[in-house]
Amino acid sequence: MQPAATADQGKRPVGRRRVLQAILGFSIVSTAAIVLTPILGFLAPPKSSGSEAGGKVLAGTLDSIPLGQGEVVAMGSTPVMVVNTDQGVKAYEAICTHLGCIVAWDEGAGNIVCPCHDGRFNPGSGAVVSGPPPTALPPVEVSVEGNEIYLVAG
Amino acid sequence: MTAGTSPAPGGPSTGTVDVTSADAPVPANTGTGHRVFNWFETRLGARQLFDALMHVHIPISARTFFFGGITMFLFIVQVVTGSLLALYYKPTPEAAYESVVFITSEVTFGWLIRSIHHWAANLMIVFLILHVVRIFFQASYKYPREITWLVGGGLLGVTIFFGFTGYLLPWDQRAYWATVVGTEIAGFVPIIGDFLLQLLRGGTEISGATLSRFYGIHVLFLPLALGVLLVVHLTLVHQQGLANRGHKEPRPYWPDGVKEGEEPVVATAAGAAVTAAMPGGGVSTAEWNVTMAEGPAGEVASAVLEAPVAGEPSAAEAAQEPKRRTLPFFPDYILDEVIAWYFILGVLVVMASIFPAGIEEPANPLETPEHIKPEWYFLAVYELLKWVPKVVGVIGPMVALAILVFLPFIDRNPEVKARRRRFAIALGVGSIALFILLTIRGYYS
Repeated sequence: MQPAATADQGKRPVGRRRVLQAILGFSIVSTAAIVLTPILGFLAPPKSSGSEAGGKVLAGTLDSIPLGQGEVVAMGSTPVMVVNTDQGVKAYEAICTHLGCIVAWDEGAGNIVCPCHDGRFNPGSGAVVSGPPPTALPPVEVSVEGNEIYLVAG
Repeated sequence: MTAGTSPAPGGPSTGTVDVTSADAPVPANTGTGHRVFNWFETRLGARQLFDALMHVHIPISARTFFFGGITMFLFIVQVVTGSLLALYYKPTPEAAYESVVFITSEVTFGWLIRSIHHWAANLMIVFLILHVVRIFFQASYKYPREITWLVGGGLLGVTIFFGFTGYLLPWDQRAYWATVVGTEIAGFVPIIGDFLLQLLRGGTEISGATLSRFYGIHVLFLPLALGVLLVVHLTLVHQQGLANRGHKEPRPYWPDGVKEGEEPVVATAAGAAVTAAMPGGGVSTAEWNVTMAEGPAGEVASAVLEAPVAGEPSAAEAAQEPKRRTLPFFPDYILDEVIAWYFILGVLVVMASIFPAGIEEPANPLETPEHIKPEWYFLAVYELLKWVPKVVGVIGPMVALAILVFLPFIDRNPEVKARRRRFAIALGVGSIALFILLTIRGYYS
């Protein structure tokens, strides 16, 4: 009697109730998935059609950004800091590596400054001079053709 | 599902007894679920509220066809899809059209969300109309449910206004010109027409001001209004219970000798005990009310649930119950309701997939397109306006709507059986026939 009972336990027939519960659970989970999938998909912002088509963007002229000056210009939707240094015209992404503020040109100090937490960058290399920014500003390729300064996107 | 949970005598020896244990709301084991439940229950005490809301009984004769519940479900769908659409929609004349195109073609599942919003809006009107028609023919708007009907009239108005304001938002040719005509019609209303027109348009013309206005009304004013009215509507339904179809609701009766201010023999309308002295109350009505009056709802519920299983009508009330004339709202009715909702959700997805919401040319105030028609539920008024003078075409539907909303106060006939309210039935059938006829004519014109 006893051994028979234990043997039966292994292959006890699955009850109707259990089957129904399993089907119900499956239905609820799949319904939730079916409803949530479009909602989550909808919430995820679509890839921006983007203005980064590549090519060159006119940033200014050597007259508008003379030696010892810097200016933020737009390259598509990316702000770029263009500085005219004695090592030539340089350009960096103008988004501070600390917390995302847009850097500005500090004419008095002769370096790039972030107005939010006073992070300072070297205009010649983009490296951090002082303040909280963790890394240097990423450089942007720049080409000077005659008097005109171009940013090379891509 | 182990022993000890089942309140039924005899223990869980057979499969049938297990049914009762499954219905016990509190899991009697000491699992995590039970502890979490208890943690909240000891702090919120929500069980009592839940029981009061859920464990009500509805007459077995009630035929709701779930129209009202489906309408509410569609409103929930609208809140969800509408909230999503609002994340991308831009309510300015310059950007609105583009943003709708963007939603439809760029955003993942954007076409689906927008099309479901479109179809749920239409179905919401359909089921609201069916709900009104059902209540009318079953005479459920009569005593004591006049206020419920009145609030329902408010819900009808809000829903129609939802449709009207939402229609403009895509800012395409159809949207723009339908709104031009629609607001123009409001201008025909005598005396206040001009004011009403400018109030709707936010100026003399349809412009960015109109779009902002319609958007604000559509996404803020109306959802709030509908939410509040819905809560009142449902509270009243809960308080009064569903009408016992084909039977007049017994009114409180003051027999001779009972003075005003004293406790009447019959205390309240819906949940009251009815004495045999009740004049006019049919036998079955009385019995039904006796059932309703017995004890807290939970007791009756458990009695009904357990009686067939345990094989013995445990309490006296179960014995008095006349052949189970009621049905527990939870879980019986709710289950059917949820199935209906699930079906409607399927219908929405199918309709949205086969007939997705389209968009026409961008709105151009300098060019009226050739065939300019309103949404189907305005077609009857649109058609009527071709046949009768403008003032009649505007006042007529308004009067009809007013009669509909205030019907319980106009139709004072207490009878609920169709053969005893022939005039009302004839008027109802006639009105529906006229509405359908005008709509069809308007559609094919």
